[in-house]
Amino acid sequence: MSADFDEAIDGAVREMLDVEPRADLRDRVVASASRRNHRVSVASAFGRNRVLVCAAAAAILLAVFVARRSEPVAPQAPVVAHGDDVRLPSAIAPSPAIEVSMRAARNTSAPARARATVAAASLADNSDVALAGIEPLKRIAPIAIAPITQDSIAPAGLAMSPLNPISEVQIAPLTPPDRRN
Amino acid sequence: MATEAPNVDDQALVRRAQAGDVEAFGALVERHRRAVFRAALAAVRSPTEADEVAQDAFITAFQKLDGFRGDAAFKTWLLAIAWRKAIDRRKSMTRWVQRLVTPARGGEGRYDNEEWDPMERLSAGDRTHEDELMTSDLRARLKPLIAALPKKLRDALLLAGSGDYSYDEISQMLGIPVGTLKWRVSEARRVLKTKMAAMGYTDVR
Repeated sequence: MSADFDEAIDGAVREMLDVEPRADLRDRVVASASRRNHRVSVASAFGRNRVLVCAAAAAILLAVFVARRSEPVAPQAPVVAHGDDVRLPSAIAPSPAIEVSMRAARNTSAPARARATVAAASLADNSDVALAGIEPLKRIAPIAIAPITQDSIAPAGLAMSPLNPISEVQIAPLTPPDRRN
Repeated sequence: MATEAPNVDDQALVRRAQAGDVEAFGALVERHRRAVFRAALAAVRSPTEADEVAQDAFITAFQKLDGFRGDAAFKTWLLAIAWRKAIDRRKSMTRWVQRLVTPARGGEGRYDNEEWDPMERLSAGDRTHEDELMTSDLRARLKPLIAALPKKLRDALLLAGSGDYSYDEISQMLGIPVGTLKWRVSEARRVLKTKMAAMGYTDVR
């Protein structure tokens, strides 16, 4: 059996690859590319509007936040526990005026805080207390504080007693050493 | 609407496709579909798989078209994409077949850095059966021998022998120098001739 090997190899290779692609390859690719183009255009349109959408959402959130911050704080009855956890009736809760005064007092210096606390206590809402059947508090007279005297803190003069005289030290002369034999 | 554009060069069609003209890209597909398909066929050896690879390669090329600057010819760029896709497909096919076929490593004519190819093993395993079915025509006997070549030699031989690509295009597709490509083609022929001689054929040259 004799043959031209190179020619046979070339022929075999051509036969192995002598297959035509399917005729609809172009149509499939174009259809896929068109779908992708459409998706890209929709995505880019959304991308353009995305900034506006995000800005609007941020504005709405900001408006809601500001509106919540500007609403008056609803007064809540403070709960004081003595020993057992006993809830006090809301009737003896401090009125809003007292709350505001005390809140202001917390933000000031100590002397001013004391004055504000006294003033707040004197502003008790008598009508609320009356409803609870408790005798209203009397007006508290301002507390008079005696002025502070400025005493001198300088110490009295110090007297130093003289030291005792030191007696003269008498040193006896050394005895001459014994003579050694 | 652009359809066939025989007088328009690739660059002009590419520019139109980059501007969003899908029909211009369709013209490019029509122009290069055979080359892309055959490159895929050389790698995967199944027309059905090659068709899917070709479609995938064209769609990928369309997606990456904005990145094509025209430094190389469009066909070269396209073939490089198609070849990568085909090699990926071949690897996934190999992994699939490896689950079915017990590998029998070693064997004559194997190259040190050549991966074991179960596709080759399948065709080689059926060779006796194929021989019984095939005619005595030398070309028919050569096909399984070519299919059983090491992948690097087979790819080079098939791409070079198809007549669809220049050596430059193939070397860029495979990512090897032209000299290496020529050596592989020559080596593939030498291996085939040796096997044909072992089968009792004599070269008339």
